[in-house]
Amino acid sequence: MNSESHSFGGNVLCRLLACAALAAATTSCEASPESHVPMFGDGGMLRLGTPLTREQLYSFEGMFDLSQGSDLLGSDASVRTSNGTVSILTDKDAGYVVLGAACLPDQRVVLEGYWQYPTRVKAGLVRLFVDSPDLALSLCNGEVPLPSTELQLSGSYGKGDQYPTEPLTLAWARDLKPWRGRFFTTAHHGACEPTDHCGVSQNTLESMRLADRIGSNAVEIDVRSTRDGIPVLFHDPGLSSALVEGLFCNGKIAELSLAELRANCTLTYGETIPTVGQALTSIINETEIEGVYLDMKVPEAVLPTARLAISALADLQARNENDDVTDDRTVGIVVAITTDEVLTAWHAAKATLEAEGLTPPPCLLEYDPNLVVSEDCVAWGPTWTQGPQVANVNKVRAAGAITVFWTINQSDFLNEFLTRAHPNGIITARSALLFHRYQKIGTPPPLPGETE
Amino acid sequence: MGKAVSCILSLASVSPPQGDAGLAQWPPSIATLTLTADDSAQLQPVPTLSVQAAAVAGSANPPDEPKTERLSSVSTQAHRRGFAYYPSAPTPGAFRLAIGAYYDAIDPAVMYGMNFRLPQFSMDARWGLGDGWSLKGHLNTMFVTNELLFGGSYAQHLGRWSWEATLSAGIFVGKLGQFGFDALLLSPEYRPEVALGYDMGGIALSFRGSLLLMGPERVKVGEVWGGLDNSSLFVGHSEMVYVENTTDDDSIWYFGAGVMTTRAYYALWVLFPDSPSLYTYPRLVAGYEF
Repeated sequence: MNSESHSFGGNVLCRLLACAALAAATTSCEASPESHVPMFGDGGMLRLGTPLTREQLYSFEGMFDLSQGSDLLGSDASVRTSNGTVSILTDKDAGYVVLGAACLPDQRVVLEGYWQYPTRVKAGLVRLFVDSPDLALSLCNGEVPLPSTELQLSGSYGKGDQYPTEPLTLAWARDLKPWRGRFFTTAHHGACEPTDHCGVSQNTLESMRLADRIGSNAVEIDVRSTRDGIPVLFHDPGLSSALVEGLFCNGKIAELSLAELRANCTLTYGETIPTVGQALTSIINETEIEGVYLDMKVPEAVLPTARLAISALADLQARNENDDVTDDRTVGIVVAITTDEVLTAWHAAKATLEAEGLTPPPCLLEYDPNLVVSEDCVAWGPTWTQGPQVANVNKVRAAGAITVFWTINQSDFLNEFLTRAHPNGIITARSALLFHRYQKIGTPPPLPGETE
Repeated sequence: MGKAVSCILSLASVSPPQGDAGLAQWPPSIATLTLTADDSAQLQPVPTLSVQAAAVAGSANPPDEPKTERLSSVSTQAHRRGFAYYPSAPTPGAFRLAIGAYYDAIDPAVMYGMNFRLPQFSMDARWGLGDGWSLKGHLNTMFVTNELLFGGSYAQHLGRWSWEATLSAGIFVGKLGQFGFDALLLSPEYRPEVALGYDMGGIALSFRGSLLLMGPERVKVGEVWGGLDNSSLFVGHSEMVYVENTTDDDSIWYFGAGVMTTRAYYALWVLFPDSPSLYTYPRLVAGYEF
């Protein structure tokens, strides 16, 4: 080959490869998470029974030892409940089991649902029964038995949509450590990471309902503002294909109105982008979530979000003060100050609200523990990437505030932070893992104002 | 091929002429190297941009009729100083250094929604051992993420085609003490590679496939050490196509493109995403070989 043909061949090849490279660099190669939440094809046995009441579900709470099924859930598991749900939470692959419970016509009590490992595309069906006929009869008679070693759940689990055949048996061992209102297992932007396979998109009403069922009692959600000033839940400034779908779903959240967002974009699993108002309503009315961490991504969202928080807190207060105790509800809502710009917006928002005679909602400050006190915030939200910062945690606690680290998903570090810093909460995408680790090795944190 | 290989000596093993006039005629891009039948080498300054080499006995050319081989010939370079990526069997002591950059278009989903993507500086070196063997070194860094690997390779040429197997081991170091981080990640890294090359005359085309193996990883945040959930020795693989374009002045420029398929924590360790899933993203490379 002569030098001319070298040059010609080289030019053509170079151009072709350059085009391919440009295409590769500009083409999204993002992974789309897959998920399949299995269901009993015939509706299962739950459809034949009478659902247990909320009060009865408390009877299932506790730490359980597994005698069968440890391949799926490990040697022990924490069981907690929320409205309509019994959740088995483990540290094996951060797995969880979400079950409904009902009394069958033959006086057996069945718990049915699915198991899932959120970081893997693995899930399956679960069917358990309350072993003791006396205990089952007691539940079917509407009684609320206290949790005891008499409680054993036996049944089976399967893989995918296969009928469950693998044996699963767990026995109640002890009470759970105090966690309600004490330790906040805080779901990172709703529940799960965008790279997980939970079957819901982050920052959605669906993710918050899921968080309530897989071990969280608080949620952290990301707040941005649309062009027409409506605070919505979204993490990124731009509409990347990692989070949204839609041919005309392009640009930035701040450049689009809510109507344009709704018309053009759906989230990964088909949900719509919710507003903060919708999120607060859903959390309060459809879950037992106790804490809401409104992560202010932009200063423009601070004032409208603060107004929504004030309104939600006022509604809660009204519910708790009326004569109907069944609608009582305790939810803490904090506006999280993430940057100096957001802090400036917070100052302005406070001044505006106070001028209107309103009490600003509680605040959380993420970065400087000294500012937590001076800004009269109720919580500090440090990043975990600087370590447990035990001295600062204690300083903040002594000043009457709580500490919630963000965002720890790794077992080793959850262990270290739980045992060294005794924080009041941790933001995580592994709620089942954190809840179970807290129950196994954690210490109930001192309440604000208490010292260890 | 073997005989042809044996007749080509590394210019690096030939001392440059002394004195100002001699230095002016060095590097050997403006010199010819004549190999006689007894394989002795003699530097002869000439105004052409070529290397003249005599074929050894058994070649199509008689020993007394030197065959001209250009520095811009892939075959010449592959057996002389070698390429950074193309399968090469450089002469003992021959050295090649490549400096370039990577660009990984990592899925923002892997990066907690972060959309910025920094290029990485890269450096590759090859040291000829003879008989098809080379020592290789590799560094890529964007300061918070660094990979340093050393290894050995063996290459064979079969007409225009060639292949090379490389085994490297080293360390993956991530360190960030700014922007709210006090974090460090350390891990041994192992990288078996195979490359298939095609000689296009003045352009070397290579397809290089690598396995990315790491572990055990150790992570430090603040004063706390720990490991990664879902850690695995297998952290991914890469398939890259490289184009290395020879020049008459003995240097090479290259670029390439391909796909990386890796675990999230390899792609961006600093956020410690713990998903065990593999993510595919494009990698672009470009650089210059001295």
